[in-house]
Amino acid sequence: MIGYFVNYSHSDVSSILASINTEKNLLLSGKYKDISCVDCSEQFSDLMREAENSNNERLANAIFVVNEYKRLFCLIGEYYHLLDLREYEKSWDMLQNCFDTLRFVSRFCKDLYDLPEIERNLKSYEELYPFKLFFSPEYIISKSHCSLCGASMQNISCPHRKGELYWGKLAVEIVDEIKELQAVSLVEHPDNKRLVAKDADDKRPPEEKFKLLDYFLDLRISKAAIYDKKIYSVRNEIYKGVGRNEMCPCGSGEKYKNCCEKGFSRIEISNVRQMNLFYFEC
Amino acid sequence: MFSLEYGETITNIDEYIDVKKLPQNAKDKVDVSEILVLPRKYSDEEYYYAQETIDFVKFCREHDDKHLIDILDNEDIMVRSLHSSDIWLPVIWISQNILLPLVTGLISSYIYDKIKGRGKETTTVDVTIQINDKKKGINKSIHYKGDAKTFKDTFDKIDINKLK
Repeated sequence: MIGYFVNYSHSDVSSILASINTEKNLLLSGKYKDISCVDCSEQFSDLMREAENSNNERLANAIFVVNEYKRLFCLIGEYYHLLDLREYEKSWDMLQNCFDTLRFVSRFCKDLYDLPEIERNLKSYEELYPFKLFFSPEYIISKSHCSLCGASMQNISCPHRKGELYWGKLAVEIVDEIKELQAVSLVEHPDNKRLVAKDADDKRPPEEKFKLLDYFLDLRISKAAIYDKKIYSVRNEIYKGVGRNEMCPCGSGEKYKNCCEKGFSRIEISNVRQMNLFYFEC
Repeated sequence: MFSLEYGETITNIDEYIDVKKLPQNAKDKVDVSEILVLPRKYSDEEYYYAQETIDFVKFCREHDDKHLIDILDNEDIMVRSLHSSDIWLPVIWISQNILLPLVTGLISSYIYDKIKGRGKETTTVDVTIQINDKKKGINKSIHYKGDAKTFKDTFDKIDINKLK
């Protein structure tokens, strides 16, 4: 779909592609704070008008996808910036925003070779968070409607399929009524990873809760890097010979088995290189 | 990893039509449709349709205009949403066992469409195909739960003539 946009003859096309190239440059050079995450719809409005006037749905849909592709780099820039600020909780939600946009763009542009690179970079970060279990609600939907035509999405009268593009707009199901919330399960692969299972009594400071990510950021590797990593557990000398039921030498007041027995995680990084991003000719 | 289970009929269509007091045209659908999407009874004794039901029927109609594909209910359905990243497909009833390759092809295309863009993530599919072939006296169901990527290969190995 991006290929169709790139080859479309219109003066705005090359300026949009040049702005995406600029965003990529800023991301790789560490100047991600300069990527202005503004609504890009103004840049696309002329093209969208042309799509409507020439009855070209393919162009309208391509505009939507390119807009999302451009937005992806803004979101990644915001994510890297939150990591710089060590805003771990907020950064998790932003990381999930990046994944949502990445999945959407990848669905329509399977040939762009930088998308798997971006996925690899973001996945590496995701693995450093302590979140491994998520809440997933199970419920009965009794009423919903289509974001495009307003018809019920509980029968086949609406012509739109969820997640598909129609005239440059995404069809979304808007749930109006939930008959019953049946259960909330703990799962490893939810649709929405923002519903994180956390210990409400965990009063540790963020650098403790997000120890692995914090340690990784101290290594000062470029945010846009691709690398191989090995996570391993180490134990301090002071724990040698400590019995499992003895008080922990760290002074937490907990038994050793409930505290530092597992040691702490460290990361070994190798084969570091920058993400290989695709640049448009314009 | 996947599991493939053969069993008896999952959804009794006549019972559902009686319980829900569906109108005559719902009964007619059973006679004329070749592929019909059904709800299933859950542990609370209620019938619900699976999460992907409506999209799946629309997809099938977009990709196959030679066969009669429908959903048993005419009105708004109750959908059980599990909100996981897995693909929950409905009970898919077929009127003849020879339609099995066609249905598995449609399911496979639908899965491919759904997992596009998910990269290396593993996605699980849950689907039941119910065969009620009156001519051959076949009343069977095949339930698949497992990796979305192995669905097609698994069903390609099924010999439809051995489904008795």
